[in-house]
Amino acid sequence: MAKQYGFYMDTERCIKCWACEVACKQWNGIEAGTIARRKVHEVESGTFPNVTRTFVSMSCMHCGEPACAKVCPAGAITKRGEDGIVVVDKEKCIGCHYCFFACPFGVPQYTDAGMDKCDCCIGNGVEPGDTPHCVATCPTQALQFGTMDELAAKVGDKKAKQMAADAKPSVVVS
Amino acid sequence: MVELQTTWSWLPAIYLFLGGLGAGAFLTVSVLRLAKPGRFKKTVTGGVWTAVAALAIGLLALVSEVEKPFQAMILFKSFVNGSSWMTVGAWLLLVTFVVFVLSALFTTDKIADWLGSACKPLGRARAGINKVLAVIGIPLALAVAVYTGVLLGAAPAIPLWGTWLLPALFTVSALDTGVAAVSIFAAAMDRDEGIERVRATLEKAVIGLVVLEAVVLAAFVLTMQGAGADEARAIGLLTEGALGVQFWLLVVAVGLGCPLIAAITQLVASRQKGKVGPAVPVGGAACALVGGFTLRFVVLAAGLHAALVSPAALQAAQGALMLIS
Amino acid sequence: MKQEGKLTRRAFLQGTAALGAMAALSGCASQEALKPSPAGEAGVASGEVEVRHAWCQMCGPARTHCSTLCYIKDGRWTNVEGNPEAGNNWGRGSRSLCAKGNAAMAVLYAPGRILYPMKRTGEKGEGKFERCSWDEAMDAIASKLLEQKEQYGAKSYGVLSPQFYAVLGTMGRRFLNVHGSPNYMHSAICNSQRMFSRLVTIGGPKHAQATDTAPGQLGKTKLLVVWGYNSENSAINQGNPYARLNAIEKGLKVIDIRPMQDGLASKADIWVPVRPGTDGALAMAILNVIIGEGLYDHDFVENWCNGFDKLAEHMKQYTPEWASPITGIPIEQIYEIARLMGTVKPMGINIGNGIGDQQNDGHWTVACACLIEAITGNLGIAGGGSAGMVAPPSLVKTKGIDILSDRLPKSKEDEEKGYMAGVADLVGPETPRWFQTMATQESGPTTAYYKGLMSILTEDPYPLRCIFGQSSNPLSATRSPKKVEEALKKLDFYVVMDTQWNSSCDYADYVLPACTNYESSYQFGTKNSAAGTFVAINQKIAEPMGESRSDWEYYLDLAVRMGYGEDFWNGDMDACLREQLDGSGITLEELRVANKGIFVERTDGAKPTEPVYQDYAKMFASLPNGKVQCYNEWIGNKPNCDDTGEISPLPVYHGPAESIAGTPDIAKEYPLVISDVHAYRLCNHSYYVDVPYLRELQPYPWVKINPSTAKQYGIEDGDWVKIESRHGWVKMVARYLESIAPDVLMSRRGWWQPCEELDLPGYEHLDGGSEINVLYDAELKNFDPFNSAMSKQTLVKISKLEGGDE
Repeated sequence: MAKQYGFYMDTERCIKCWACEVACKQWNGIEAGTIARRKVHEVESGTFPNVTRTFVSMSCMHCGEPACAKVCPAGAITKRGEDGIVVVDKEKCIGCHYCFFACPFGVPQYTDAGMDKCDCCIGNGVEPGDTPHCVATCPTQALQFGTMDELAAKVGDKKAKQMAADAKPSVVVS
Repeated sequence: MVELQTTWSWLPAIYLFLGGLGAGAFLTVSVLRLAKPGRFKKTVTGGVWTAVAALAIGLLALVSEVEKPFQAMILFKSFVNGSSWMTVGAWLLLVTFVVFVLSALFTTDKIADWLGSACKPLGRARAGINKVLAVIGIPLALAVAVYTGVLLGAAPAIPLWGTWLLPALFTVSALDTGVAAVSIFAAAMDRDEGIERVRATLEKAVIGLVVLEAVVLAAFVLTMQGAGADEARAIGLLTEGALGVQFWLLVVAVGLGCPLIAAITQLVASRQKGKVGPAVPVGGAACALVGGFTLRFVVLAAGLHAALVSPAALQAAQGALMLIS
Repeated sequence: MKQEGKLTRRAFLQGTAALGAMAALSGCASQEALKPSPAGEAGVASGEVEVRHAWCQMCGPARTHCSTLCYIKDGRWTNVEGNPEAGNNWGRGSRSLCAKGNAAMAVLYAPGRILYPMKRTGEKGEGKFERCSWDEAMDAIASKLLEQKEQYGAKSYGVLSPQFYAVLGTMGRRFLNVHGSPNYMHSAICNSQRMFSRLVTIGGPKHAQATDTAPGQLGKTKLLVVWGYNSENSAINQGNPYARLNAIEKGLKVIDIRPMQDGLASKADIWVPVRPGTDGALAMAILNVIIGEGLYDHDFVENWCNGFDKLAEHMKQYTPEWASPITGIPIEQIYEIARLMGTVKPMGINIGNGIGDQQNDGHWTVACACLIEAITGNLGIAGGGSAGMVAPPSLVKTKGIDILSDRLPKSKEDEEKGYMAGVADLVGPETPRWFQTMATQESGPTTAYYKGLMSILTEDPYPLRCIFGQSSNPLSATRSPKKVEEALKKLDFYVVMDTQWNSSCDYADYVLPACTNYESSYQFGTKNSAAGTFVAINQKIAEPMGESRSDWEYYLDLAVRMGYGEDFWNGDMDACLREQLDGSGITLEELRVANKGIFVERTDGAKPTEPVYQDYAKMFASLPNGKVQCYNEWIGNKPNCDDTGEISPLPVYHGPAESIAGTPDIAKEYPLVISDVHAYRLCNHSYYVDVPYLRELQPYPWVKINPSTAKQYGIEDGDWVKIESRHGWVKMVARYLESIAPDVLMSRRGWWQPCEELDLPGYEHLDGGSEINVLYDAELKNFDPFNSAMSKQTLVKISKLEGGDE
């Protein structure tokens, strides 16, 4: 594979403002009340007053070895060779939901057109590898995009790790 | 505060249950007819049609569950990725269903006679055809029963399903519910003179399977409790959480306890030459069916993703959990 | 059964019931267009999509903070993003927008848009209206205003002020002045209240340039204290959150003082969960420690403080031991943060609306925070309060709209008492009459919003006879909707102009359809930075819906009909715009065709320069004795805004009308403190709750509650609860949150808008609804005596609401 694109999520900068969620829906023509390709999650731990809240925005991880692609009976999910972006062909998809149970992060969601998930905005006209809209809109630059090498450079001296799973998610978190 | 898994809910539970039930019923009556060919017609016919109906309704439930049912029904288009267990299962079910239907056609006197009159060679070969279908059908049925558990196990993101004990449990349950379904016909409808011995055998089988299922179930629960935080959290939903009532009452007490008691009651009664009305075996069998369905349902509902796998930065504090919505 | 298009699961289930036609097995793929056609830049390049400029409306109509690019496909506005030309947020190149900005299209196409002028035909509150023409409505309004001017004087006309709204602040004020009324009904829930307090404590030179305690050079700050301030809700894309996070990465330490840990508070080093309404006590205790332990800058205090000794003596009684039971903060923590604020330098304080204008001790809370900043020697130093880099001048010099202040007649009483013109006629002064001048006020005399409404009921000193509400809903914008409703029922003439049928419209005589700023091209804005100056006007994204018109046009039209046309460009808004652009080097025509705005690059290499530091003579010039008012001689011992007493020259703390420490008897029955977030990043005050992308994230009115408290009452996460104070009750959905004290609840206000697309209702504004303002005390005597700030806290009891939402 030529390159592997992925996301860098800096939880120290995420303020749970939801701009990324809404930008994604807006640009991908997703109706409100249906699904969300990108979601902001929260981990709250401790008890008052010693509480910490950590926020993280997540979408498809474009895994190095996507578990979803393996289990899809219709072969609707493929990993692009040139940029590592994992895409679903909605026309082939029958919506059996198996991919949801294969993905370690529960990313796949479903409409009656089939499974729907992040495609790094290539479906709405962004050139593969160019900045997806969630990244462009993030008011704190908590969310970044690039090849895994580029992301390693962006992390700088923050303590960051690639997300861990057998599927090799292309996401770095700090 | 953990929510339940709801993407695969009632319909897949029905499919898994009926698939197992149909497989178990076919297997039971196939063993019976191979041992005693031509006998116990009502039981065998009932069992074979139960298998057909169960598989048909189960497949209907399955196909209703997907977003695009009509497209799903075109197997050669939608089930093409060989490395997916779902593909294997789809084709397996197709073949098995065909075998079950053929078996039903050739088992039912009226239909078999009509076929025989339409085509004499078929009429002569009837017994042989039935035997062959039974012989092919047994491993196919077994495969279907095992497959329902393997399908879940092949979903790598669900820790609760990632054990060979799950297909083992579903298989035993399939046999259990299958025998239970067949015993209804044996108790309520069959007038063959040897039916009492068959019924006794079936009841002994029920006892044996219930005990075996209880053992496998216990092994499953204990293994999951000790396997890790995610597995323990999931199994906890059954043993003491949101699914506690369904598990202990419907799966264990009703699904295992009642059939056991019913079976023992009948055996004791027959020893003492007493008479037990059909209510007991039918009731016991019905309880087994309820338990079998509920087992699939709770296993699905507890099939949660592992807490998000993430670097230490995110899961720093103990007890930090992230739920995937 | 077979159909082209969606063969969905539902269709399948219906079909199998019939179990007949298997003709569907023809294998059609059958979905709607799966691949959206290229949007944004790609779409523009391919010619399918058009791009236009608009200033984002989502922080309020007529705001010009974030410049946006709007993409239009087949005549419909489909997408929006931040304009990289403009220099939003962190600078040029930024395409960022907040969640609201990303959903802006919904505001234009909202199903609830009012399309035609409506005239009331039934009783107030009945909701019986009929459509009428603009001419009929405007003529009726004009003649009513002239009639009332004859009968009661022009002062009988008041206008509701929403959050800062350029239309009202310029055109609306101009109209007030020409018509002759001083009654600009300012909300008193505004940054303005803080500016009043800062002005009289640490100087100006005037209101709009009141000395700031917020650091002007955050990169040089060592300790930032964020106090009742939530830029992650009120100004997400305007640079503050971004800058703060950068500074934190470079070592800035942050103390965040607020009841609920949300957003940026989660990044603070120390979160101080102060009990709502008690920040004044905390501020006084901090002053007590800093003074008592000598942690102040002795040099500064000696040379630049007025009455420090009096302050020191006075503050002795307000110890952390005194403040702890009031604020719910442990004594040790009060000492800890006081010592940090007293010793870490440079230190700056981001004071927010939460403490300045949403507590009845607003003035003294802000004044104390200012004094802390001042006596620790942190004013005017690099990294301390104010002292921002001075940007090179704007390259596009535009003019503001002249508000014609000298047209407001000076009455005899004004002359006698030495008041500014019009002040004697104010129906409910927001600040003391003697205090209101063009230096201390934002644009002229102001009445407090709620006081103006109450005058209708009390007729003291006289009742307002006509109120105009534009972009403001008085049944959510201020306190006590029940009393406001009473007032609106009694009010002679109420006119509303809005894009949506807000909950007060049923009490109006006329409701006029406003268009959004996306449907008109009457407002430009500029952004100046080191790189250059950006200027752009709202381009029309769509023609006005129905018969809706621009808020600007309303005033021009009305003025013409009332005979004031000469003062209002004879109704020609373009003429007004040309006046504003005169001498700027940019024409209106150029602006209107610039679909990404115009960026004028700075070519002379000028860079931002450092300010003159510690220029105290200049900074404190407007203060008595030219010094920081530790003992306030500007407002101390002078009449308060209601002329019911005198303002203390030294800090005082009253606390909310109902509080745990202040009214323990009430607390026995109502043991929990409730407040609301006021600003929130998914709405703009009580508006935009109908926007589907925003509403789906928070579909129901919520109240955040500590899980241990909830469990005590048998309330589960997601249960509807009844929340009752001594003034009324509301219903909300409980949401568990550990990051809030067990005796505190936090909610969000508004919720009157339904969301049709998601089938979600709007909620009522009275008892049994979900408008938090129903719960708070609203006695005028409890308001801040200097700046009319109102309490936003009260005591409540809660219980699970059986039957849920019914």
